Amino acid sequence: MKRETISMALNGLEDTFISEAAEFRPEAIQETPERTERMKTKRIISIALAAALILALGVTAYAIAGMLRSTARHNMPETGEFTSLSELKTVERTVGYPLTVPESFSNGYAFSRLRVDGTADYDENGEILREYYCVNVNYTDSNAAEILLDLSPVKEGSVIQGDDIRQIDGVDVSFQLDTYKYVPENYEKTEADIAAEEGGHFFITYGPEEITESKVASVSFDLDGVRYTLIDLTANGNSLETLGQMAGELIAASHG
Amino acid sequence: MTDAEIINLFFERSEQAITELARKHGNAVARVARNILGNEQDTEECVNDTYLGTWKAIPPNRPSPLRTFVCKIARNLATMKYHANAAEKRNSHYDVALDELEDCFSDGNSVEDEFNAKELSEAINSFLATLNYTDRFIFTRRYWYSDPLQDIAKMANTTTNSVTVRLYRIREKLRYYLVKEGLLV
Repeated sequence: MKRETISMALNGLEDTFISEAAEFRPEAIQETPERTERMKTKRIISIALAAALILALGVTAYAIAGMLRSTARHNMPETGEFTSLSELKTVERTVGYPLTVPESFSNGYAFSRLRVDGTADYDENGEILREYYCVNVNYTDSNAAEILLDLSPVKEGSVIQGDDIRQIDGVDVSFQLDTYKYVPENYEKTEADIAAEEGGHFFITYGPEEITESKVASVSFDLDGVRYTLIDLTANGNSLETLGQMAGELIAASHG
Repeated sequence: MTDAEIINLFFERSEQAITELARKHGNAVARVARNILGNEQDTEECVNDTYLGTWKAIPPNRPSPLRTFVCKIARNLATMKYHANAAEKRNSHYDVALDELEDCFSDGNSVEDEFNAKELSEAINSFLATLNYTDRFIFTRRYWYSDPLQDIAKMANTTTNSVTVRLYRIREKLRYYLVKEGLLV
């Protein structure tokens, strides 16, 4: 391989890796199965919105928790982006599981684009535990507000968990509202930060120069062996209700 | 001065922006350039070109973190200069780091010469996401920041030997990962 090729490839390292290596801060990174889920979702979000968010869905429990080290994008055939749903049947054949992806919701959110990505779970030794396709769908409303829908096959032993689980049409739906605090790399956690982290809905992300906070709402549920997660990255007071209504429409559509 | 205030100066087209950028992030930029180019004259040119590149890029960009943004510009410029002067004898940290990766990707087996850098870049990013934080830190410091082993060991509170061994294992894992992904033969 040419040295120029290696050199150019290294220039394309993700900002996240470059930023986190600016200073050695192992205490800022906790390697847990839940974090691997967050990393995966973060990658999805980064691709979709180029947003430097770490999203914790916190709804997944793993029977294989001791084995799973990480989740990452993985080269697989027939991945790519679609700007209409005309090829949805083809996508279903590719990913190997049924997809309930409506053109629009009654609250005005309409399909914008869909992306199919190859994904793999790795163990401690870098061996692939399983490979599968993830589907990420973007919906936008007339104000350009965006809601993401992430679909992936339910992992063995994984069940919907959370401290706010509601039944919709007989399906367990986990509602979650999290706060993300973005802080400079040299930020020292306060006692209030540590206490908030223990609550499980507060996360600190290092990198930006100024301290800001944002709220992320998400709802998750399983249908026909597929995990659906609706995400609002700019949550407000009504976000959970909005996502819950959209979840209800997805559940009804899958039953219909 | 905060990064946001420096960026505001760029938006106002105030030359003070360069002064403040240099004051706050100049050392980090120079380190990236020096590690690749290996001499002070080229480093100084590269740093100045980085400030010019930043001036052109902001606005419209409003990068966060700013340091990563300017270091990336510096790295791109430094590697262009490095390869443009490939015939020139160099002795930079980058030479040694590139040698290590070149060995890892070749290692006696045939490899496609027309390898797509973008594809390789995506694969390396995916691979890094599978590593624990410390390994990712060591890899990035060595092969993106082009730091010498001793400096990385000091930063990671470990020994040079430990960093050397970990890097070797990471390169082996990377090679195995690329083979599995069908990007190396």
